[in-house]
Amino acid sequence: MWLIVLLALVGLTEGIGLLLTAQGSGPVADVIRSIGRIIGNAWVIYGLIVWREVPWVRRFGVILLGTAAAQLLALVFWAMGWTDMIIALAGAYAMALIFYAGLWLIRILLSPGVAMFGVARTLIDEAIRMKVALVFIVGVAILIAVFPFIIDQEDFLKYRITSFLTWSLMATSALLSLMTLFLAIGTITKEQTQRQIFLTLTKPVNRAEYLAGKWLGITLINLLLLAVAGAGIYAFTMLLAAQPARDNADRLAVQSQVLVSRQWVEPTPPNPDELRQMYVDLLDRARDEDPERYGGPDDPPDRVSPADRADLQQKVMLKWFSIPNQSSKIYRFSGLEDAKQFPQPLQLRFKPKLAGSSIEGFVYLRLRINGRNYYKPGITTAQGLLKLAENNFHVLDIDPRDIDEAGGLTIEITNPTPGGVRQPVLNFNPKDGVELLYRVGGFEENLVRTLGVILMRLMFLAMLGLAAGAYLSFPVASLVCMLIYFTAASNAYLAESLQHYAAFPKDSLPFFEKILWLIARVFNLISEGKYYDLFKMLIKMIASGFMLITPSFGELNPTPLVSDGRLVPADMVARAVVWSGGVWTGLAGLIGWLIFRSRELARVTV
Amino acid sequence: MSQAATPQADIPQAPLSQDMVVKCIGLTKVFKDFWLRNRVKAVNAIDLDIHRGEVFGLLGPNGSGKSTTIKLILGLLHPTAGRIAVFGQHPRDVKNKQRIGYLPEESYLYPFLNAYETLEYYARLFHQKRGIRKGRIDTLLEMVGLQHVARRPIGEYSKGMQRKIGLAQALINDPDLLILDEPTSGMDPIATADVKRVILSLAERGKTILLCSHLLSDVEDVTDRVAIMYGGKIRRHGQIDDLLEQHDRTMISTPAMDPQTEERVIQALESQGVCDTSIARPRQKLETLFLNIVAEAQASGAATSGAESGGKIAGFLATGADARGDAVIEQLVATRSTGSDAEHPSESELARDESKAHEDQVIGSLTGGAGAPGPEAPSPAPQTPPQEQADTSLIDSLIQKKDEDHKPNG
Ligand SMILES: Nc1ncnc2c1ncn2[C@@H]1O[C@H](COP(=O)(O)OP(=O)(O)O)[C@@H](O)[C@H]1O
Ligand SMILES: [Mg+2]
Repeated sequence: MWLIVLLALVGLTEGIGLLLTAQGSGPVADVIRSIGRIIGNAWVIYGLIVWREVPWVRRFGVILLGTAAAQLLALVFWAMGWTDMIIALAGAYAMALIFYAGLWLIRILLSPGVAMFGVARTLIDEAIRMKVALVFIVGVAILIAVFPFIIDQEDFLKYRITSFLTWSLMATSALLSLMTLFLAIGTITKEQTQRQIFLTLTKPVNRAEYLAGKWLGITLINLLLLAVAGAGIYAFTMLLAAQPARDNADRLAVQSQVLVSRQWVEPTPPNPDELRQMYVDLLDRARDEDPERYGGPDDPPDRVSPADRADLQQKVMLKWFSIPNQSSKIYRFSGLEDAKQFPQPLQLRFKPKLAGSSIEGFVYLRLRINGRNYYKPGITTAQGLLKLAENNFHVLDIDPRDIDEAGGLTIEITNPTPGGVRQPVLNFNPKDGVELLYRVGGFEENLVRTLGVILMRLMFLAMLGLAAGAYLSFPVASLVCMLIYFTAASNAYLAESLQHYAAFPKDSLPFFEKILWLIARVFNLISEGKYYDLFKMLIKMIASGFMLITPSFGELNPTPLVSDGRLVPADMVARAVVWSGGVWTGLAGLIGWLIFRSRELARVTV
Repeated sequence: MSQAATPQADIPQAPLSQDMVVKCIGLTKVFKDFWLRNRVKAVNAIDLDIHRGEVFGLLGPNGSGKSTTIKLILGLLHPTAGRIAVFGQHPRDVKNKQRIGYLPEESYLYPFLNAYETLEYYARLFHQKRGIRKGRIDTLLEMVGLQHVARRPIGEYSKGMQRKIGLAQALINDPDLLILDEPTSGMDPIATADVKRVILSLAERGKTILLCSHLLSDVEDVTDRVAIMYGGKIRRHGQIDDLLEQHDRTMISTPAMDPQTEERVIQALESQGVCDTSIARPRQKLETLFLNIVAEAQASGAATSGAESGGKIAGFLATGADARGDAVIEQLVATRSTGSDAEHPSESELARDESKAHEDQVIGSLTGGAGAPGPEAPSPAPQTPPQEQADTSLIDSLIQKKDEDHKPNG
């Protein structure tokens, strides 16, 4: 009935409006239409008031009311000319809307009569009503709010945005990780001590379903909060991007280097044998000096211990990225077919360093692209050299038409003698000293991928917490999970510091031989009475074993990429899905289930 | 433990018949501490069998092992020794749980959910569809008289109110076996009477009920058989009447007599060689007295404190005579029988496993129809019929009163 009246109202006024427009009386039609709209809106509001007790009507009403309020405020800001405030408001509105509507959606999603959904839904109610989610949102809000105090407002806008993205994504990830762990451990240990689990598990719910339901609930909450945080971060980034930049170049850099997603290519020598030849030369020299370690001159080049080989390879790379005075190196970037299709320039990003003292902090170099001298006003000197601040990253635009048919681009860098002064050896960091980047997509998609990788990590942590909480008490489980979390987050760093702690077999050894080596070593130490060394050895064995079974988040960290305007590769997202979301989550779940399965729930261990 | 300790020496040999809902043989539970030292022998080699359709009372003082026995039956604890079968299955069989309702000794509900959400949660665990769920929740909330506070979080409820939600929760799946662990603890006398009536009417519908309590008054009016536990062992068991009958005394009940008549009666008895005679007014139980007083006050129009009671549904559950109540149970049963087989394996199993006669009886009782005691059957409540009349009016008016009470804050 109400709907019919509404439809009739809209139809009638629009119809009359159309009729009048057709007859050429536009203004009257507009008047009729606006009257119709006002009455229509009033009718909708009337409906909302009449059926305000019906849950979905109320939700809809709240959303409508919130939207209207936000619009009104935006209008005020617009009238006052506060563009920043409008962006901030839009961000806040988007966050609130996502939270409210998302929660609604999740509830609808979980409404079918399935035991797992029931458990998940109750967990979400718990998280919301016990204010867990609120604490998180307030936490993120505070962290975002303190951000302006921790950066230099005078810095380049580009760097401010980069640090904001790094900071906010790290904060979100860390806060959500902690929240996830505490929520997961808390819910399952509390239900055992407060015994709600007695009721749930005397219903036709098996224990795997129970764990899965809890996990699903936590994951959905995480999804929701990530979406909210993502909206907040996006809005704040836009707000920052709307701030005045240091100069024009800075403004351009924000758009072309930060708020984009770029693919990057590292250089290779034009002749693939070049590096190999350098390696052989180095090896020959090393064999001359130390035949015992590197082998005789007639041994094949690969008969070197893996560690020494890695050493030599590193030296080769260092050498390849070093350019002595008056000589030059040719670097080739390939696989640029994609970039050729886009009109926007490619970016050559490099950081020149000198192996000695520079001339007033500047490095001079000659850059040739396809045999032509690179020219850019402001940095090209009269001699056609580039004058660049030493030890800083520089980004030079390169015309995509310079890419050759094979999808490659060749540059030549020469270490010159500016004004007759011999420059020391010019070099670049082998890892990221010279790169070519090109735009492949927008910032938004990249941000979404980043949040996706974080979600995978949270999925694992949720399962980990549940598994630990299934048989440990809250404090113990929290400690164990924290230990695993921090190990996982700093796996690479820990491995490095352990490297030097005690003698250990070389990484290249097969696993079984490693074990034998260790056993022999332990006996050796005992027989020699070196108990302190033995102790260190044992510590390292425990730590290494622990790290072996702990996933490494370090490799799956998209934050530095997105905040540097680099594409979060699909490969990383896939690895996160498979490893964090699949294998590690599954493993934690399996272990949790195996122990939880036969647990005697009504046992109280004091 | 020697068989002599339990008076059921013949039971272990009996085959596991279809008629046996719960069967325990030599059930023992020893609680160990962290170092695996024996701490408590909470249940000590008990044999127990509960037949289909009976109300079985497990009596015993605090700490006698009643709750432990129940938890063993529910699979929340693993027996140290002995065997348990529930509906012929392992106690941790998940499918079986479809047929069981459990009210634990304390309220183990989520404090952050309201009553409606709580029942909805448990209904979901039984995989009930939305329509069925909603109907049952409303019926049960009405039955325990909490529909007006259904939107308040359980954490704010008093203990008795929480127990009522606990009871409603135990009935959400229309269970075949209902396990009640001290169901009346924390409840007021009116609610206690309601619980008893619910138990009786469910028993009438062919449900099996395991009732466990330390309050004799809870158990004596409603149970068919009882077992009395002490120190983890069953000390006595049998029909309740047999247990309560004092074989060495005889009681004569007459209308009130004047002192002279009493004197003459005593003389007459003594002349027959019966000494040690005393004459006193028969006493009601305290609970009965309380109910009568409240009923009288109600009849004279006095206001009460508005304690909650589940009058409406209790009425229908008690006799089936109340048309409104019948409608409610009809609804419960109807949604049940239209549900798919997957949702109610109990029914299909029943149909498969049992003789036609038995099936008729069960289905009949489920549908509240011909098979069950007819509407003319007297009230199964402990009270005499006139009291039952008073009760209904009392409860109806209580509910009206409560409606008024709860409107402002509910
Ligand atoms: N989880 C437990 N751990 C150790 N002892 C327990 C546990 N549960 C119950 N008990 C002990 O077992 C005995 C029986 O307890 P219970 O079955 O709860 O008694 P009740 O008959 O009052 O329900 C008591 O002595 C109690 O202390
Ligand atoms: Mg007990």
